[in-house]
Amino acid sequence: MAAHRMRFPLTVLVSILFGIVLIPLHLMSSATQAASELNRWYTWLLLINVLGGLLLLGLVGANIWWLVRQFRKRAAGSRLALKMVLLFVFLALTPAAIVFYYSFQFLHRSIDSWFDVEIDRAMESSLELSKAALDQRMQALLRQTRRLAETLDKVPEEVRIIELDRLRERSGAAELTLLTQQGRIIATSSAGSELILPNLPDVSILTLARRYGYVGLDPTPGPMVEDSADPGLRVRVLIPVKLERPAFLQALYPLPRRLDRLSRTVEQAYAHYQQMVYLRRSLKFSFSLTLALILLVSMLAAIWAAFISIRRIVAPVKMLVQGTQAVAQGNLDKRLPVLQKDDMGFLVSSFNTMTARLAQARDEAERSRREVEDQRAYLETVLGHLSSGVLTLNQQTRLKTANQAAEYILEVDFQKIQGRPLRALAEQNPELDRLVRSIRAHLLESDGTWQEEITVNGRQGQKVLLCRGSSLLGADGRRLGAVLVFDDITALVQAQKHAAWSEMARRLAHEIKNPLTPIQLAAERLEHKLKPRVDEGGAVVLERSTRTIVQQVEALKAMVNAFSEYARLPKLKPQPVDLGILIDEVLALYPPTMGVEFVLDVDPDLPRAMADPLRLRQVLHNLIKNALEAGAPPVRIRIAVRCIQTRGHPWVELVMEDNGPGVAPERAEQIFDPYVTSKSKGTGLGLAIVRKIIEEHGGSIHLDRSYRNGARFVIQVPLKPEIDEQGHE
Amino acid sequence: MRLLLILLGWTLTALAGDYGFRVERADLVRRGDVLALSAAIHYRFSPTLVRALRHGVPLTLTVEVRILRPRRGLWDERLWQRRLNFRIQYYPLARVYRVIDETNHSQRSFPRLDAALAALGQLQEIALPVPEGWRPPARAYAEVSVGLNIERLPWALRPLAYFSPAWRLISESYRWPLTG
Repeated sequence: MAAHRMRFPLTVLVSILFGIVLIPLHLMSSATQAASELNRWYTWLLLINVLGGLLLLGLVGANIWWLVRQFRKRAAGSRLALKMVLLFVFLALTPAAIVFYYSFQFLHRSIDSWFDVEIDRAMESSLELSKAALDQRMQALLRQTRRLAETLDKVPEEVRIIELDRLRERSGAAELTLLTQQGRIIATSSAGSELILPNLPDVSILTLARRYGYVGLDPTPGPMVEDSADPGLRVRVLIPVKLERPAFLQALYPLPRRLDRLSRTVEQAYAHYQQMVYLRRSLKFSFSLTLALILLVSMLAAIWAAFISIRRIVAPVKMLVQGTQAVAQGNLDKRLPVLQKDDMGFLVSSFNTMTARLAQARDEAERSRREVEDQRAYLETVLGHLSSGVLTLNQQTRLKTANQAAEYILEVDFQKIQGRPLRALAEQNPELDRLVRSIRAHLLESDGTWQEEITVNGRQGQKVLLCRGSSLLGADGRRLGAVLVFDDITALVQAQKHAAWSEMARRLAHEIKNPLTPIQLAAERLEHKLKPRVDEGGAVVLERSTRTIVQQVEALKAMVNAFSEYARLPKLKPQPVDLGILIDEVLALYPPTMGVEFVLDVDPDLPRAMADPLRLRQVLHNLIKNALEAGAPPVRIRIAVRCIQTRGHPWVELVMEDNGPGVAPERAEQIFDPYVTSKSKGTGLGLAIVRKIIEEHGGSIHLDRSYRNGARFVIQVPLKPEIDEQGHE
Repeated sequence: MRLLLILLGWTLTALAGDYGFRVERADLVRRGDVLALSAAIHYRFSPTLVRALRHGVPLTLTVEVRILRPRRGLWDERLWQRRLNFRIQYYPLARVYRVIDETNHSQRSFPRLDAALAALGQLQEIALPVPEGWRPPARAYAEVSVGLNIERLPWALRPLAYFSPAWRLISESYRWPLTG
């Protein structure tokens, strides 16, 4: 069994997935640190992670939708997948939610702990302290600048720039500038040579300084930003001066290095603290947002990875379920691909082996079944075409099977009684009661083979059945039931009877007919010789006696001739016969004056039959004669002819009814035997000859004993196909 | 899309209070190989911004200058663009507002916020370089807008600032056709 292509290892796939998810999360987390270079990318990282989260949410949603659809469709493995997903989500979410909750709390408490009233107060105090120290310094510089302004007021305009340089050097100012009231430069003196433009005050400062002067700190040492140099704080002083017209003297003083450093440290710390105070809520929100996003993205990635894992785990289970369903539906050729080399792969491989063996067993069973079916069909065919009836009984003597011959012989519909006890035979056909009792007695008596000749009454008269029974034994000798074989030997018995009668008739004709002529001649000679010698009275007696002898001899001759005819009926000469025409021709010989009335009912579609017309005429004559002799005039005879189907073959059925006295039930079985008659005259061979002719045609005749208004004879003759002169059908 | 965002921002701003930025006048004049920008911008900070500034949070205002050419059926084609960043920061010890022009690396101090904002609103002859020999095509027009640069805020403020009308301060674009 070849394993299919192995898929990408799950652990590697999941690791790559988590790597892809964790990198932007880590970068975003790093960006929350104030000193991080990633700080400026925080928004983009946040956006990337949100988009990643949305993407993962979509993937998880799609997987959930897939799972729900699978579950609704009751797809194989969907329940297991759902349970695993729920379990995983529960196991993953619970600790994550707990960790998130406490992290959230810890985060907020940590941020809150940064701020305290004491720290607030300390920061405020330090700033105030710095301000106080600087204010003292600034007031001194203000006074000093006033003095410089007073000095400058007295200096002539021509030497004012020189004086400005001197005053700057003397006062320690970094820059001295004379400005108009609108802020334009009149003269300036700077300590540094790199500054071309003086540090000009804003208009608002000029406005403030117009009356009493202005002193303040300035964080901008010059008009240009010096990125590398430490700018330091400067004290800006503006004093109004009169000169020729009102103006301002601006002095910029650097702070002592130590004071400057300390002041800026305090200011930076205070500003940073104030900034943090202001950002307190924002920090909480952003940290919480970052934490929540990290948790959410991680959880979604984990759930997605779980879906991938579960789908991979469930896939073989799903295949196995589908495979077992296919096997349950009879598809043993189902083979599943082996996708994994783990326990599931082994299970799938075992399933394939199992189905292969099952398929092999099925094929063998199918072969055996076909052989059994062939045997069964063979037996059914053989039994179906047997003339013997075969009936099987199970262990509880219930009717198991029967062939067509059994149904025909016993005149039962087996389908109605199959599976029922044996007595159901007698219930359906009461005439079989004796047969059933006999069979039961034999079954109770022995397990061996038995045989009995049983006579039963059928619809077409008495039947002589040769019944043989035998037990059905299993391989272990256990009795499984019984088999009964019936043979309808009625025809055989009848044939034996006919043969005996024919022999008797032949002997009778031979032994009796020969002496009759001498007896007749002797009687006639005796009368001729003695008549002249006897008196008148004796002559009368003699004549009467001889006449009687001659008459009786004639009667004996007629009887012997009849027997001879019965014994030696000529061979049949079949030819196509239109029965309707034949019957009309026969009936024409019996005019109504003879005291007979016919009712004819012949099927107009009746085909021509192959029969000997002379013999059939004799049959009709004998039957009509029998009716005329048995009944008193007017005799009413009804003749019906039709075509019937019996055992799949066409037959012609001729029914002849009369309104005579009928046949006594005790004599019904013997009326077709020779020399059986209830009439005062006749030989008793008429019906015997009829039956013989009919049987020579391959048909049958029986007396319908259910008919109560007279006698009804039913003749059935096979409708053989016509044969033309060339012998073609 | 851009117009929709502007309208949305303007609506949110209008609903939030009487503050915002407005470009009242602007002009671009060619001076050799540069375009000199002069503009008058009215800044009115929201109380939230003032409070943040007083707590030491530096704010950056970005002035965007663009030259565009209309296109039928599409948004206008941007031919040239420059951004000017101005940072304003409060110094609690000196009690002054320091304004830094990051483009020209110049700086100034103001004892009052309104003075600082007024100074910020006066842009005079700011030289903006253009490619040598480049001249705007016919039908081109210029536009100037100004807004608070949220990306320059401390990282913790940014998520909130993007969704807060008090922070999302963007002026409408001031447009004028370029002639000559």
